[in-house]
Amino acid sequence: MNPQDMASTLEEIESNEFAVRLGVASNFRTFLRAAQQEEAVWRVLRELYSQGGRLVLSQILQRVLELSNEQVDFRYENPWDTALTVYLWLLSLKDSEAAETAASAVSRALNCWWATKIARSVLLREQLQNDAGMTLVDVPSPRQKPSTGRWLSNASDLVLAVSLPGIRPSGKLRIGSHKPSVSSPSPPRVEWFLGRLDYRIGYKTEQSSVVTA
Amino acid sequence: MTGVLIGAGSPADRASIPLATRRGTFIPNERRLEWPPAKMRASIDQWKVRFPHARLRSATAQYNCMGLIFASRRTWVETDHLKMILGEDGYHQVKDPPDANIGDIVVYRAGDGDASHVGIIIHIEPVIGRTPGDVYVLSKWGQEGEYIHLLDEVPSLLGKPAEFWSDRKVYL
Repeated sequence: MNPQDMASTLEEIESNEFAVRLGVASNFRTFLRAAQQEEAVWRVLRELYSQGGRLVLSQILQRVLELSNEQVDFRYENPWDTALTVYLWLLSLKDSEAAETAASAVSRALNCWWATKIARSVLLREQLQNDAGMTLVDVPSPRQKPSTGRWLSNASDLVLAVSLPGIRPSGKLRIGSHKPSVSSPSPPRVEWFLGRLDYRIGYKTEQSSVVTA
Repeated sequence: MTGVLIGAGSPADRASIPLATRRGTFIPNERRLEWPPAKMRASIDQWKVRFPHARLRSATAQYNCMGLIFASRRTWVETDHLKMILGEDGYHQVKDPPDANIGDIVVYRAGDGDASHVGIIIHIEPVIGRTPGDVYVLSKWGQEGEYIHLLDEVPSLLGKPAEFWSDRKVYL
């Protein structure tokens, strides 16, 4: 595929018409199923696995970085949510390092939805399962007990090794916490950090939990 | 600051609202932002061509088909939670119309059996010589419009009508 054809294929994936066809999905599986039925997605997929695949990969990655940095109207969902999700999914099929770089950018984009979900999957779950031998589960409400695992009762400054785009291999997912006082039966307060310590993108709650696999 | 939220849709997520089954189990949910107007307009135009008989009732991205039926249009609930909700809300499966009736729920399934969409029966139009007649459904198409449409008149991605469920209690 020549560069012009590729540009036009990417333009199609970023179009409103494309987003509308996928926008009727009510869960992520349906969304991905829809993406797989799109001719434009197949064209990109074929190119990704062709001889010039590296070039296509870098084109998509570049596009993700550009779209993630676009100014969007804060009142509305990110207009490129669908395209970013599809790009991130395509990258994750071909190259995990590129996918991580893209996911990191997407996680900073304003008002994404499906894209945020797939970025979370790329950045957190897979990495933790593959690299750190641990599994992150959704943080339960303070009123709920975790269904599996245990409270980390002594999670002070626990650092899990996670490779992060651009700062590999020194990137860390850091779970900072305060040690519970001896008299306190409550689980520790956990804060989530991703990347550099001054770059908190996560989630902070009183008495939330980390559950080990 | 944006980022990757852990626990999206859980009670700790600020985008969720308190929502539970009759039995009291929390239903994970998230309120979504509206689509940009141009994108929503594209949706309305696109589906109008494809389904000229489907009647648009409302166009908003804030809730989906599950949110329409189980959360009074307040929030987005993924179809992954359908089985739990039907079980805990006292629904039972009924046969096709005419056993299924107005107010009952139709579950659409994709080729792999995945529950991909739900709608609510709002009208059954008798047709001479054909049972059950024309079944009209109210359903929300993902982030897009809420439509009144014939039973089969949905985007193919949403699957085919597969089951009917009712919470009607009949005392004889």
